[in-house]
Amino acid sequence: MSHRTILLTACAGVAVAAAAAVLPVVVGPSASALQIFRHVVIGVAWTTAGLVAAWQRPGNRIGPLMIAFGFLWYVDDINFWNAAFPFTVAELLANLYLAVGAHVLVAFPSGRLSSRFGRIVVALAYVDALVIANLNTPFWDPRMHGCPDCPHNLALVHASRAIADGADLLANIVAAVVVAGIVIVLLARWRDSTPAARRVLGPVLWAGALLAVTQGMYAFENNDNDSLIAVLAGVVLTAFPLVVLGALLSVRLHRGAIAQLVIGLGSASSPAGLREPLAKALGDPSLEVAFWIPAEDRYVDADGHEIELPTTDPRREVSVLRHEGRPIAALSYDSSLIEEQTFLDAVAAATRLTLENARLQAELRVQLNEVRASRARIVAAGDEERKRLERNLHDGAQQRLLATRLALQLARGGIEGGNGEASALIDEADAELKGALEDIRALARGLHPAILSDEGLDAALATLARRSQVPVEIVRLPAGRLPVAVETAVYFLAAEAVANAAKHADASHVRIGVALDEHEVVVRIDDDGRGGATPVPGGGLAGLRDRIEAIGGCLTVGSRPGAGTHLRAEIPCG
Amino acid sequence: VLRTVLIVDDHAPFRRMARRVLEAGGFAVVGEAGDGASALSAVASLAPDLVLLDVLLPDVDGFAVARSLAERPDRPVVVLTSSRSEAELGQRLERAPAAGFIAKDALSARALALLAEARGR
Repeated sequence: MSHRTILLTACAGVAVAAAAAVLPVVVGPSASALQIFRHVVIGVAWTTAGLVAAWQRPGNRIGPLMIAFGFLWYVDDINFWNAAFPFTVAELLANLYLAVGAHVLVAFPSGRLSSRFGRIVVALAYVDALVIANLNTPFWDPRMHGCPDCPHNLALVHASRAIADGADLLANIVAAVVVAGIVIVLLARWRDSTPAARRVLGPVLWAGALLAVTQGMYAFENNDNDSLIAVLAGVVLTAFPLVVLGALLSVRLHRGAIAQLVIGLGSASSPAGLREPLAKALGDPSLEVAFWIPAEDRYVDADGHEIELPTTDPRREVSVLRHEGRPIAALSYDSSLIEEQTFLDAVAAATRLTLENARLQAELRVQLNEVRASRARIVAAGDEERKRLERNLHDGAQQRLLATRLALQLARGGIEGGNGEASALIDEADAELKGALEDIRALARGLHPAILSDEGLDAALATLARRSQVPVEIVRLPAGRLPVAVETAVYFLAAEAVANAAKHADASHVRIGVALDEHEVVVRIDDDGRGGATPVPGGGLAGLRDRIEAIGGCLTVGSRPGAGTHLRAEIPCG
Repeated sequence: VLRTVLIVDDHAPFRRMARRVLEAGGFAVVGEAGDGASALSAVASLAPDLVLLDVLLPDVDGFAVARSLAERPDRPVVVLTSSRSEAELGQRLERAPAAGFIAKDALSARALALLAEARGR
């Protein structure tokens, strides 16, 4: 509702209330002054609370609904006109305010009917008020119901007290069903609510229960207007819209919140830092921010990881913040805390630049994550290929050469003691074959040590140490297997370090330690050689640094001349 | 004396050569098998004294075959072989229920006979 509409409605409200206050005095002296006062105050309370709610929370339907209740409350007063047509209209609309009241209860606090069951309950309330409660009208002659002075019922077809009473009974039964439905809706909402939401819902639930009890007792006393119960019921009915308004305003998000948000965002430099000020401004600690990545058609979190928006969770509401029609980000929040689309629009407007900036950063992180993942995949694919080549060498060339050596062994047996020259040639060929087999073995080992995948790092490093020309001491190893990529990186790092220690550093001792903590593997390899090693592009150490960085780790090389070489690698693990 | 041999290796030319080498050295090669499953059924039907068993087979590895054979009542003497060296096979070789290991490039009837005799005694 625009402010102009609200002002006009307020004026109309004052006029109607004044009419309701004055008319009975002027026209029909049947009601006491207290009754008239009570009647007017209830209407004024609903209209005023509704107007304040509509003013403060323009996007929420609760305000207009309470105003409607306030106006419909006076429908009864049309009777004072004392003419047949208004009298008939008043009779037809007499119960509509009850349906609107039911609508307020079920739709509180968001103003929306979010559940199917809630929509059915409210629809039934309207059907009851407008149709079922009026089924009696064609049969209802006010003169037969103890009101000889009432105007004519224009809708009267056939006066029948029995049919009219039967229709009344049906309307009451449906009303009871509607009340039960409202109770179920409210209990279910209470059950599904977060503690923060319950703080908002609680007062309205209690007031609603009190309203039901007092109205029930009032009806039980046959609507005796002067009893204590009648007064009490009137007080509760007057107070109820104020409780609803108070609850609505308790989650009221004032303009100051946006100002604070803008200040808070000024110090937020990362997508992750954006959440805190937003959560504070929106008053929802559970707020989540998701950034839209158009190229991938999905939402990601501040770290660039894909997230699913909780679109099916009834307790969560998702709002997409847009700029020029394009989504920038989505906010997921407790559905009972923030209902006002206009406020969210204001948030989106105030934070657009920051959000767009954060979105771009998140997009960058997505790309970075993808590059990282693709590097790791390239390394893994390379390792697989190395494994395949090693296996091929083993199954192919190596087996053929071994078979050939056996053949030479047989040939030597065949000519034993005979041809000396042939025997010497066979020995020479066998020695060549032996050398070729050694070469192939070394090549295969360099491609991928079979023992690493078969038995793990422990056995592979032990073999490496046995084969090394420099004594290698393994001081510490994690128990159990590590991820393949990690084991491979650690093994190749150790193999390179041991080879360098022997070939270039002239070391007399190499120490290898591998420690595993919760998140990473820390590898330390120290030798006592001459130092001075630097990773040069294309060199073994630079290749290993690439391999380690590809799986998210880092390698530092300390190698001052004369102080040995000290490698330290940190590799994330698990 | 242990004389009948089953050769288990997935490489046919190697099996052929190994057969000739062992037969030249006085062994009776009663069968050949190219994978772990056929090795087990060949042992059941041929009941060889000795099984020359490659460590790397296409279906199960030779260590698993050795463990299965060790559970048989007529357990044959198992000698493992591989184109890989002892160092490359690590502890699995030490743990395997086998009479010994001969690297493929050191395979001879004499080496097999020595291991078999050590076991037979």
